[in-house]
Amino acid sequence: MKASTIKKIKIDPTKISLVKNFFGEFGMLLILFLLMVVLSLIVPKFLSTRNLVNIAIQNCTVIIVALGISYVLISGGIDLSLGSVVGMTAILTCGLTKFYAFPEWLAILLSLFLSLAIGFVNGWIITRFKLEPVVVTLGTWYIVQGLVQNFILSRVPTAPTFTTYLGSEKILGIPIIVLITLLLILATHLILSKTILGRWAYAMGGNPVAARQSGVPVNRARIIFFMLSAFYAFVSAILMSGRVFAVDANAGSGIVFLAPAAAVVGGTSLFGGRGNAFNAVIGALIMGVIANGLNLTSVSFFWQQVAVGAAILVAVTIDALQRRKE
Amino acid sequence: MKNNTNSKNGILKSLQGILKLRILTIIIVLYAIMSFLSPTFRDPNFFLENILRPASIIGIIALGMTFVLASKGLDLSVGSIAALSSTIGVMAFSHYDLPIWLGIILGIVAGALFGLFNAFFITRLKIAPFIVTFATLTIGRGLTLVVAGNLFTYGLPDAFRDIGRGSIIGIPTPFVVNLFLFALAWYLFNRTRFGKYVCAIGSNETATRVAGIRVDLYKTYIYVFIGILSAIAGILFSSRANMIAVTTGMGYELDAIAAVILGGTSMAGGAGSIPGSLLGAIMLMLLDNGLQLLGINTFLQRTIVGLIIIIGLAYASWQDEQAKKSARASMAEQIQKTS
Repeated sequence: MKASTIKKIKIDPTKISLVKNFFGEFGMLLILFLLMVVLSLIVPKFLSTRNLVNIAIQNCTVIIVALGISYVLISGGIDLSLGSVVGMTAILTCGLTKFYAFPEWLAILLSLFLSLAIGFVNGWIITRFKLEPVVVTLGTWYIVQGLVQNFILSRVPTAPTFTTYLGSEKILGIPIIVLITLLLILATHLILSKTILGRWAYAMGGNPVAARQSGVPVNRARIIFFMLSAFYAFVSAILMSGRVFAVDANAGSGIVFLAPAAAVVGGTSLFGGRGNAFNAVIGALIMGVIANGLNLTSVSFFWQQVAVGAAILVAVTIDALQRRKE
Repeated sequence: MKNNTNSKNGILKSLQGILKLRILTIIIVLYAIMSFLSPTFRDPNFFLENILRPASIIGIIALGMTFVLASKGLDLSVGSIAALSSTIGVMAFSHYDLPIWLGIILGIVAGALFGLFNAFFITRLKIAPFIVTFATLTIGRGLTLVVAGNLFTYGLPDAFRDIGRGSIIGIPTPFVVNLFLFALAWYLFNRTRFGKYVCAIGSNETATRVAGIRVDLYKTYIYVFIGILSAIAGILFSSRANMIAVTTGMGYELDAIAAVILGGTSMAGGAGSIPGSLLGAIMLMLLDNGLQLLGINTFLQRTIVGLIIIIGLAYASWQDEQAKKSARASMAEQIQKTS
């Protein structure tokens, strides 16, 4: 028996009752709420509509990628290549239209195709050669990032029209980014809780051997999850490049660890079998709210980084202590 | 389940066979090709100065990373440890007028404490190393900026600079340090109980715990050890660069992991190769120089490292599969014969 299997069996989803699950989520929601109360007491500006909308817009990228990686995490894997998928999509969409006169739809379609291809290759290599997802996705991250940076070099292309429209316009007063993000949150929630894909994910993460024996097409499902997470990264990259107007060679590099960290801070297990769409959203918002609050209090960027790291530690510590009680 | 373990062990074995032994061959072939293409490579000084000297930094961290990966852990914070401890060490003598040796010791102590901090969360609170060290990566990077106050501090004392730039009997000092630490790590990994326990933890933590081995204690040793090594690497880097920069050590975690994997240690835990990791670091630097020489953009170096990692692992796994297939076939033949 491998240690990993034992761990995975321990966190059997069927054994975690709904009530506990609810409290687990509730705990992180409470932390988010407390954070917002404290920040609004320190900085009155924090609660202004404008600032709250800002927080929502700024964190959409991380939320979407964290939603996507949730499929992979819940099914017991990890994907480190998403940062490079975000970077590739942003750079190709902007770079191809700006410097190579591609029509925008073609550039977007090409990015979509390549993103899905990366997801597929990740999943295929992992299942075909029975390799650890960490190493394989680390490898694809390196490969894609190197290629993309070599393509764009030090050029900084601006975003094309439709992308900019998606990233900066509003419908009925609500930014399109936020609308799409809400839609994806809902979709992820439904897929995970109501469809067979969701059931596969929990089964595989809880106990891969049992899942295989009970008829889950484990390999195919794993490939689908990697493609799904790459698709989310693609969407978030399109929205991000539209929001920031211009992208450089480092686009998306921050998201590599931020996205899984957001999901885990929100309560998704790194060992698989446990987590949901709201975990990803709450985790991303906790980190985003902290960064925003520190920004408003004009704390130096140095301390902001310290605080974000400390927040992750505090959140997972609380989670760990809670689990120990159970 | 049994089958699964067997295949994992098989992968590991063939991986070690292929990568550990062949990495030396790969290095020699790479070096031969590059020397053929460019006369600069033929200069032994070039090998010492442009490959061994810079490779020592990742080489030192990779030694510790071997322990971490063999125990099925992960440490993403090594780059931040390198930056923070070297900044603390350098600030101690450049701003607070302490003797240089004391500054270096302070830096190393800081690295050990950083590792202890990681270990506390990993062992006491049972939080995944991935998350803990990602959080401390961010914290460490922020603290480095706070301690340094500046993005860059140039012009350190000559005595300090000479450590990273100097040579001992013709061999670059950082590489001498690397070799010394290599001997230490090799001894710890292969000849002590600690090394055996590291692998035991990596292959089956629960069983190791049940067997009465103090898993948490040994895990703490592992993270403190890599903390110390990262601090030494950071100090050597700032000494060679003759400055402290907040960007010190960015990406070291990935380079170190890549070096260790190239050296034949699997991320699945349970085994590792210290010589392989040292050679892995040298190979990375060789690639870096080779690509520059061929006029290939350095960005593509990452791509090639990624390709090597994936293809190497996939090939090892495929070979293992073939070996099992042929074993099964011969077994079936025997059964047919006997019946």
